[in-house]
Amino acid sequence: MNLFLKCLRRPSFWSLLRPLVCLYVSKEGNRPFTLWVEFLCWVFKEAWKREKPVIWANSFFPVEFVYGLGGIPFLPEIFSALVAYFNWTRGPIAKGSLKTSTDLCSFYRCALGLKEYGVMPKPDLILSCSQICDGTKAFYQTISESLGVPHLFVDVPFNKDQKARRYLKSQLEDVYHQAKEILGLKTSLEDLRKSLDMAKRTESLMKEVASLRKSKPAPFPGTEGLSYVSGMSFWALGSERGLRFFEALKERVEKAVREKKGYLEEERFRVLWLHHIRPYYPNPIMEFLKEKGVAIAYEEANYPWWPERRGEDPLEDVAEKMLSNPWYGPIEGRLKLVRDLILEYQIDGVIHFSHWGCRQSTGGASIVGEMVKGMGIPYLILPGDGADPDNYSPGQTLTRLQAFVELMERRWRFMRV
Amino acid sequence: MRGFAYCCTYVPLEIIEGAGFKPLRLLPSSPEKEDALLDPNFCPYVRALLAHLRFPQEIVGVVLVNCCDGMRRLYDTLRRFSPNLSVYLLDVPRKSDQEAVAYFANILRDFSLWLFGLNRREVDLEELRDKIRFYNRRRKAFSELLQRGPKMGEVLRVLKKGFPPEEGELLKIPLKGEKGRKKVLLSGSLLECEEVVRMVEDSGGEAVFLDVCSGVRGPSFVEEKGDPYLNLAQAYLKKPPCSRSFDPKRKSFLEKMISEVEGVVFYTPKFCDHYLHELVTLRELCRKMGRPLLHLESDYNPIISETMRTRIQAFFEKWL
Repeated sequence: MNLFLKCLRRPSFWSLLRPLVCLYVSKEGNRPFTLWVEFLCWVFKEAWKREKPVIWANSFFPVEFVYGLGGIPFLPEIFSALVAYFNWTRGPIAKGSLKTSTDLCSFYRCALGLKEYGVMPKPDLILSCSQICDGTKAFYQTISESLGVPHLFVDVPFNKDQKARRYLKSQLEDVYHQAKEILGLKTSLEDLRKSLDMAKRTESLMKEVASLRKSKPAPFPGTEGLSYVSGMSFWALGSERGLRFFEALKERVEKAVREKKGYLEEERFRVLWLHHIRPYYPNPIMEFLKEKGVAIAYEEANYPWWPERRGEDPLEDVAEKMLSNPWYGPIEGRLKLVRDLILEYQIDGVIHFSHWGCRQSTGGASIVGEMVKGMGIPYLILPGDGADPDNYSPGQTLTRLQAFVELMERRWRFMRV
Repeated sequence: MRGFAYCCTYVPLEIIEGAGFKPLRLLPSSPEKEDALLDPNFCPYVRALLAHLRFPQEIVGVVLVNCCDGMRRLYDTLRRFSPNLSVYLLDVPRKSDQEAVAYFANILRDFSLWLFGLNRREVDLEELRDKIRFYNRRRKAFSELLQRGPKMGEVLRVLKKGFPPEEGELLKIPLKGEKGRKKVLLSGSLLECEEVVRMVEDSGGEAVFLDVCSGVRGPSFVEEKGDPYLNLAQAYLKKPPCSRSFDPKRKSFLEKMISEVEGVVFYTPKFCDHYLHELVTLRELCRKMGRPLLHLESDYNPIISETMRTRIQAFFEKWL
């Protein structure tokens, strides 16, 4: 075990692993997935090499800002999801839970434990923002204090008016200059502009993918959308690798649409998945849905919510992106998003995955449900845990899913009559 | 005077009173909670507030603060399911630098406009200045009482009605008696039950600090001359910070308090993200400084549970 952990900390390990693992996963013929694996190997190699500053950031911190600074971004929340994917979270979660309460988000508890194992490259700087949940600021502040690493924080206002925009932009300016000073970087606003231009090109691809996924049958599995696709949009936006990934993704989805090929053999119902995560450890949820002909047609996690960047003032564009986040601010923003997605993606049912420890999303589940049910669409609140396999009840989950599928069947029969 | 409710120490009561309302600190006496509209893994205080505010009596409205996910979702839920209640969300910054102060001053100006409008009155800056002076007098009287060493259980009982407390209430607070008791820091989020403090005192402890949301967390003085909104923003953002704020003072503030006591009791409602994360830092500080720590989690109940009593007793017997 210790030898394995030591290997993870060596850049040469990731250099060696990269071609091998890419060759292995490329056999599946899933180019976007291969590019994701390649990206991860690159990030870990660069982060452990320490030639460029390693900047930890939360998922909703605009990562293009980190690339624009010339840093290597490391996202502990996504790293926890990766660890969960390999079903390795039990140890780290147990370690993390010793320090706090088991009622906290398991992704953060896992990251607290992973810090103890020393498998995350130590940051030179932490950048975080108050979006979209309370855990974010609290977790990174704790980490910054325990590691003794500087932490710059962006307080995103709840309001979205001009005063809020000015307050946010002035903070971004401060953070940009302070980060450069702390890290001794020589990068200029022009570098930030280049990264944001890259992000802009990537975003137009993301929008095209989102539009292609409206096709029937669903051309791309939501399970993958909820894992590596959202992983890339959080971690790689503003980088060349992010652009290449979304080009490949668009190509794949476009091909499926052209051939009218759905990802399921027989698509009976189209479902919208709410919440940014799904259970990443091995579980039968997605297999069950597949067997029943239920396609996850889209997931709110991948909706490119922000307006097109104008490109005149890079920090103004970043501020605009943060302020337009539908999951932060009054719930009306999220309600509009869900309503639009239901209509645009011809949705038959909505699943709200209520991750234990998440107050931000689950707190809105009833209000969202009221609206969805008002539209005559079956709605399921599915309690569970994204990272902790011990906080998951397979029996109860499958019973709920079964009932949900029956509801969609009943609605379908009713609509036919 | 009609009542206007609030739930957080970052709400300037001067504005509520200046607009002609009586500020009411919302700490429902009933442990009843709303479980259908909010997830069960949600702050019990927020669920108790929702149960209380679904059918409000004797209040015109409530001002909530953008202090946590729970309060933000309570704001959404109340607007949807309690349409007769006027609800306002105060966007309090998490920082306290000059930019944050300027932003908060604007937020307070908007809030004041809304609140005066609710009472069909024009904003009266002189009235507001007058209320600032009035509250400063209360603050002064309260800080003088704190210097004399009052019984903290009684202080909490009075503070549950609002900070700073009415001067008449202060007279009823007895001072601490015998010396030589074990000094304790009571820190954490909302402490709804003064019996916890009494239990600490009955077990041979002396609560020296009440660093909780319902405790001594208000500003000590608000500048009386100049722009009242800027003065209020300045005073409220520079007051003793809570764990929600991004303020390096918070850690040094904790360190200083811990250094002056022999043990720490950390009290949080279940699912309180800010404070449960702060627990990591607090544990580390207590370990380094060699102070025992007792973490109590509550389900928002104004009456102390037997389990909690036993744990407090055991803490004193074993560690202090």
